[in-house]
Amino acid sequence: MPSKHASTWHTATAVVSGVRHRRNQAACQDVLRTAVVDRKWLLVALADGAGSAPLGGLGADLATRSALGALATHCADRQARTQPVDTETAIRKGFAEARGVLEREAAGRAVTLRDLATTLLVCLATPDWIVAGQVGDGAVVLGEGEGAWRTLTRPASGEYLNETVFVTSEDALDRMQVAPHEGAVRELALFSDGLQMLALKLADAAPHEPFFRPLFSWLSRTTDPFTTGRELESLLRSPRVADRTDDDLSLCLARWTG
Amino acid sequence: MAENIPLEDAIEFAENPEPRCPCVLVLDTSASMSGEPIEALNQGLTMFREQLLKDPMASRRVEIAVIAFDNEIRIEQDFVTPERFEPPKLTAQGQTFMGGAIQKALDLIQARKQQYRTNGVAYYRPWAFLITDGAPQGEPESVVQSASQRLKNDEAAKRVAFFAVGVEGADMETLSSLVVRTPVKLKGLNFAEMFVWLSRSMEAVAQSRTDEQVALPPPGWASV
Repeated sequence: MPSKHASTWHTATAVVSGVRHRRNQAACQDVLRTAVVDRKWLLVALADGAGSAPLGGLGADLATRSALGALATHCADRQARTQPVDTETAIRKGFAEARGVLEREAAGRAVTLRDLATTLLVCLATPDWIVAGQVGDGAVVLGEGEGAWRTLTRPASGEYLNETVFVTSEDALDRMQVAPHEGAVRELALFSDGLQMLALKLADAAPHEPFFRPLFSWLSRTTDPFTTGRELESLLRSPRVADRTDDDLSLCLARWTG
Repeated sequence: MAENIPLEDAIEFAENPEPRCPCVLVLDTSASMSGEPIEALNQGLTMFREQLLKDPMASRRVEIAVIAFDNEIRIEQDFVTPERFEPPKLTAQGQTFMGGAIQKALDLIQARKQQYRTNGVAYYRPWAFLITDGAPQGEPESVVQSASQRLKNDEAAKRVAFFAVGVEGADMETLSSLVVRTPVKLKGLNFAEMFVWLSRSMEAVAQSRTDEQVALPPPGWASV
C-alpha cells in the first residue's frame, strides 16, 4: 500500500496512425495531451482531426493545446477548482475558447473553419469527482474501483455512422456533452473513434469489460512511463487491432494510485 | 490474470454488429422499357452484385433492396447483403406508377432504419436510386405530388440521399421537379457502367467518416 503522500495519477498514453493513413502516407491526426497538477488534478485533452479536412491535424493540435491551457488556468485558481460545478463551467468555456482559436487560425490562413475540423474530448479528474466534456466521436470511460466501468461521454455520431460533429461544426457547442460525476475516480480511459468499436458495446455505448479489465490490471503492475507508453503503443499496432480498424488510434489510461 | 500473458492477448474486443449501408433501387418496368432496355437493366443488376462482392468492406456493409414499378409496385428484393442478393429477372409491362414507388422506397428505408435501431446496428445515410425512361403515368396527380413533397422533406431532414437516372426517352424536366438532386441522363443503355459506378460510390460511403456526404467519382456513364 503506497503511503498517502505518494498518491498521484499514473498514466499511460499512446497515439498511432491508422493503416489507412499509413497507406495514403497521411500524417496521424490524433493529438493527446495530459498534465498532472499538484499530484491530485489530472487534465487530459484528446482530439481527432477529421480525415476529410486538409488541416485536421493542425485543428487537433490547436484544440488540445487551447483546452488543456484553459483547464490549467482553472486549476491554478485554488478556490474555483475544488467545485465540480465550477469545473463544468470551465470546461464549457474551454470548448468555446478552443473554437475561438480555430476560428482565428482559419481567418489568419484565409481558409474555411471546416478545413480545421476536429473532435475534442477533455476531462479534469480528482480522486473524488470528475468532469468530462466531448464534441464528436470517441469516449471517456470511468472506473470507480470496483472492477466495473461506465461511459461518461459517448460517441456522438448523430444518426449516421459517417456523419459526426466537430468543434468546427455550426452546432458544436449545442451538441457538446458535459458529464460531471461525484464519487470515487480510480480508473479512467479516453480514446478516439478508432477504438470505439473495440472498446464499447455500441448499442448503448457501455464499456466492454473484457477490454478494460486486462488494461487496467496491466496498468496497476507498471511503473515506468516510458515502457508503459511503448507497450500500449505496440498493443495499438498489433495485427489483432489492425484487422478490426484502419483508423488513427489514441488511448489515454489513468489510474489513481491512492 | 497471469502476469506473463502479453497485453494484446489478454484483451478481448467488443463484438459489435457490422454497420450497414442501405441502398434501394427503384426500377421502372413499364411497357416502354420492354426489349433491350429491360435486358440491359437485368444484366446491370448482376454486374452490381459482382462489383460489390469484390470489395470486402462493401460486401459486408452494403444492403440492397429492389422495388419495381409499372401498374403495380412490387418489392422484388427486401434488404440483403450482396452475397444473398439474387438479382430479379425483371419484365416490362403497363404504366408508370412512379409516385407510389417513391413512397414505397421511403417506407422501406424508414422500416429498415427502425430495425437497425432495434438491433443496435450503426448505419450510414440510406441511398435510393430511381431509374426510369418516362414520367409518372396512370396515377392521380395528388399521389405524385405527395410523394414528391415527402421526398423533399426527407432530403431536407437528411433521411435519405435520393438519386434519379433517366434512360433515353425519360422526361428529364418532370423528373427534375419531382426529386431534389439534379437527375442524370444515362448514355445509351450503359447500365453496366452505371452500376459499377454505384458500387464504387457505395464502397466510398462505407469507408467514410465526415460531417457531410462524400463526393463521388464523376460518372462516365452519364451525359450532361
